[in-house]
Amino acid sequence: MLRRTTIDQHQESLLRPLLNTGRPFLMLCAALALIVGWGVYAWIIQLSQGLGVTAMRTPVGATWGVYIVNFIFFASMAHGGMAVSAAVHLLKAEKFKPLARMGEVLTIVAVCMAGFSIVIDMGRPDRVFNMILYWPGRVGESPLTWDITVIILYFMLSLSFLWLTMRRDLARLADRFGIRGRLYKVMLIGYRQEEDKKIDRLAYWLSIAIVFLIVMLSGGVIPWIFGLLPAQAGWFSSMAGPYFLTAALASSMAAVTIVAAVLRKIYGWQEHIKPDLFRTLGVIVALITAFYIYLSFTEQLTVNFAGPHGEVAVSELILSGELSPLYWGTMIGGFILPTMLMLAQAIRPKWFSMTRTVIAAVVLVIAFWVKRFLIVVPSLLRPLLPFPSGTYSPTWIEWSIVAGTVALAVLLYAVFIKVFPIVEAQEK
Amino acid sequence: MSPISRRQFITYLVGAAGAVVLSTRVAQAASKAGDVTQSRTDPVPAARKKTPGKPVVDGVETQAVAGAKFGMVIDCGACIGCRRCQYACKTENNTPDTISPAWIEVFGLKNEVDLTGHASMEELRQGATTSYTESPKPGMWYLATQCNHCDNAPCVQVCPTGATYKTEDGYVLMDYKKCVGCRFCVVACPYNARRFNWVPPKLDEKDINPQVPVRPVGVVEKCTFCVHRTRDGKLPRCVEACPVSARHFGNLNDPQSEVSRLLRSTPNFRLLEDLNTEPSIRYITRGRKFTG
Amino acid sequence: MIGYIVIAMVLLPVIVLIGAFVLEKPRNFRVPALLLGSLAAQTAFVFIFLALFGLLLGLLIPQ
Repeated sequence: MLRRTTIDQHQESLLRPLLNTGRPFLMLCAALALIVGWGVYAWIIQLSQGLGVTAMRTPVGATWGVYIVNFIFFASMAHGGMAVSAAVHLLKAEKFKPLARMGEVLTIVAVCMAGFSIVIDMGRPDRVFNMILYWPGRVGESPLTWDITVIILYFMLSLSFLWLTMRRDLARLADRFGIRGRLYKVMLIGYRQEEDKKIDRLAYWLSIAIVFLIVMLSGGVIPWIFGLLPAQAGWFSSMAGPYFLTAALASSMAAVTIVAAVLRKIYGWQEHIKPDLFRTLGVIVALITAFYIYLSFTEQLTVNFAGPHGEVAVSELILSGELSPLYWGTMIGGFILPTMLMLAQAIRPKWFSMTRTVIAAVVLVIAFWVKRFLIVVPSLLRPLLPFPSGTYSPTWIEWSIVAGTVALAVLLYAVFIKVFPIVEAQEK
Repeated sequence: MSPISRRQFITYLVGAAGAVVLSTRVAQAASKAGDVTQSRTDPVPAARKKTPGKPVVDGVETQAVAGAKFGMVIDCGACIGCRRCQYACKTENNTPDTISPAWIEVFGLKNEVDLTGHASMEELRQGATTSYTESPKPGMWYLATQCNHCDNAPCVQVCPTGATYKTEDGYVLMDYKKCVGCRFCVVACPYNARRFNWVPPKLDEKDINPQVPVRPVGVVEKCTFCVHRTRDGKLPRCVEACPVSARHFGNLNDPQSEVSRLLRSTPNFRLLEDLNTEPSIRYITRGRKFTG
Repeated sequence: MIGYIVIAMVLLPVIVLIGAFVLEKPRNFRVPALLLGSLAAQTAFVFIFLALFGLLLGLLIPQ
């Protein structure tokens, strides 16, 4: 008798998001919807008047701006979740299990926002199908074509992964809910209990494939859009791949930390998600960020020792020029301090605090957005030919659209946790 | 660089004139041999219809000139920085005011003559003068740049739709219908030669040259070596408009063309040579003495 | 053409891994079919979505 109660209680608390929807949640959704609406309004202005409503310009000025920064940001955010899932299924790190689906949903939402950011940046988004139509002729040469291919593949494998591993939970819950139950039944097409074991094998093999794609995407086709172009000083570097990959892993693991902490707090899952998990996540994020700081230092040392004109001009802009307050603020306040904090917590467990870890993670996520801005834009402001130096100060339209994509990401995530179980039911 | 005698100058002038006439004739003959059927019955030029893609003249897509490789020679010793080439190009090619600067950009460079095609650190920091209002000035030299129609064009490599492409006769052209406005080609070009239509273009009907398409908002555009003229044996507008004959255009595959003979007789350089783009515009400094 | 090498480097390991999953004993027909069906359906959806999306935006953008 007691055992059944324990199991029931255990299950019930994990279902809280599905069972209770309070006023705060609805108010949050309303606020998010307003921001998304505002972003859509800004986008419609941009569609009808052209990209000239942004601060981007050619040939003097930034050809790419915050939309591309946003794209890199979201695309890299899409990895932490799958990395956590991979740790669970490949390394048998069972303690991360409650975070697995939280991270997978983050992945799906982030990739959607990344794709959306690209479309928003296009001059002719009405011709987006051309990217598909001319794929066969261009895949041999264009890094953008490779990018589209790998992103779509990554998305499809991640979504398949999420759907197939969620089925056993849906099977358990389908009879409890009305409308949602009907949706679950549709998603349970062809389900038999025996498939669970094969799904575990699917999780194993697909985790390897997805981790491999993480490297090929965030450490591959995305940085190669920048790193393969000698035309832009500061971009052209063999280090682009590892540099972007490190940033992606650090920022996405920080994002998973934030999402897990927030959900744990709101739904009272302290029993299921122990603080020890966050200490581990904190150490992982800190070590990866420390490596990133080392890479940044290496990059600037290489350029400034005896670097060619073009490289020196770009480096000057971020180390001592117009953008230096932003650069140093990000490096010190955004990276070095949070990293030191998280490492200190690891060395002295007594100093550990959930709140401090989450704050450090939030600071890191923001810092990584800014750092990508500092990668994309400065090179474009210092061309190789002696054009006048450009400036780039994003307009309200650009910020509104960026805010809209972030709000949309949170909104989609919020909708998901109300429709589907965000934590895998534990097997007893 | 040693000054040339008056006799040498006149010889060169006559030779150059002869070469221009000769190469024009050769190009005309070649294009006729390429069997470009020109229909003059359609009174509405294709340019006025919805954005045509491939280069068309009078409604007909122009064919590549067989065996040709077009290139340009710019004499930055002769160039006085007047920018008539830039304005002529703008008028010829229906470039709206919102594309600024137009397809051609002319730098006013201050330092001692540096003929490597690389900007000095000071020039990069200060930005060479591109908005000067008087020229020529003593102690300044003028570098006119535009799309180099590179043989190894990075813009062609990166385009995800194939909207920009290299032709057999040496042009790098745009198919405006395919362009999705991603601007990857713009950032891939080391010469910043490409322009983007950030806003819908505003042009007066009377100013539109029907031979050249009017580009819509959201697509990339750039110098076309006036393909609608040059495949027909004419010169690009910038070459025609130059008051000091600092610009030369022709078939680099023809050893008797003006450009080939110029390049054989004078040291020349290309911009950003070590980036391996193999540009089709070469620079010489034959025109005048440098003073000051 | 360098892109073919890049795409091969990306696709071949993924195909091998999915193949390993499909061929692993105990052999199951359903789950691989669900996976491949999911991938096919999503591919079709991407194509259709992009085509429709482009058409919709074509109404807003000045031609």
